[in-house]
Amino acid sequence: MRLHDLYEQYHDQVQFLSIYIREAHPVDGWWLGGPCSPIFRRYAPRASSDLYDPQTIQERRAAAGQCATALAYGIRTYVDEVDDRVNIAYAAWPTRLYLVGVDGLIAYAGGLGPYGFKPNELQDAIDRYLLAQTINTAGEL
Amino acid sequence: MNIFSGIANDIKTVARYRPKLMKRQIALNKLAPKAGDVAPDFTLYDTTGLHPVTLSDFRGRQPVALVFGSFT
Repeated sequence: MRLHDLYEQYHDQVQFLSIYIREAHPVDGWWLGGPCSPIFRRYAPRASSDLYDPQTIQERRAAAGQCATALAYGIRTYVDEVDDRVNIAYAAWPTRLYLVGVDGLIAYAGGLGPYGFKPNELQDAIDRYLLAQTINTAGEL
Repeated sequence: MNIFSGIANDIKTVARYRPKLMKRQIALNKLAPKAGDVAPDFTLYDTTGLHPVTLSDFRGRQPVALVFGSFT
């Protein structure tokens, strides 16, 4: 299950927010664009391998725009501030998925990416959540 | 640069960054909100800087899927 497929299937019932955070493997950091890049490409075929870590909010917005275009999830992208405040609050780096219920509580907290990044788990959580909502609504009638 | 020196450089890069980043990642993971916790509220802007979104605006309306990531 790809994120794009999840969005296509559930966007009428669930609000999807893509949040661009600090780069995981920039050229000026833990870069995976060298000779080992075929391995990296296998797991992230549309990821960039020639991006420097953005230092200003303008640079972040530009990189996030490139990312949104290249990955084409269809989900509107929002950009974390340079102080990483949302990334830190959600311990989200390098990737992570959450589902937040209408009550403002976390309904699903995914594992840290890349190994814990599991869109299938998010789908299961969405299904469970929507089913529980349906049962609750029926009980109130 | 031949492929062997390239791989050697890659290994050096991993050795340089991985321990520090993994340590930070593990520390952050302990602080991650868990199922049942109140979701930390935020307001962020889109890639144009013109359109904000506030998580708490969706309370009582729709569940929200948060997808965190970057381009690399």
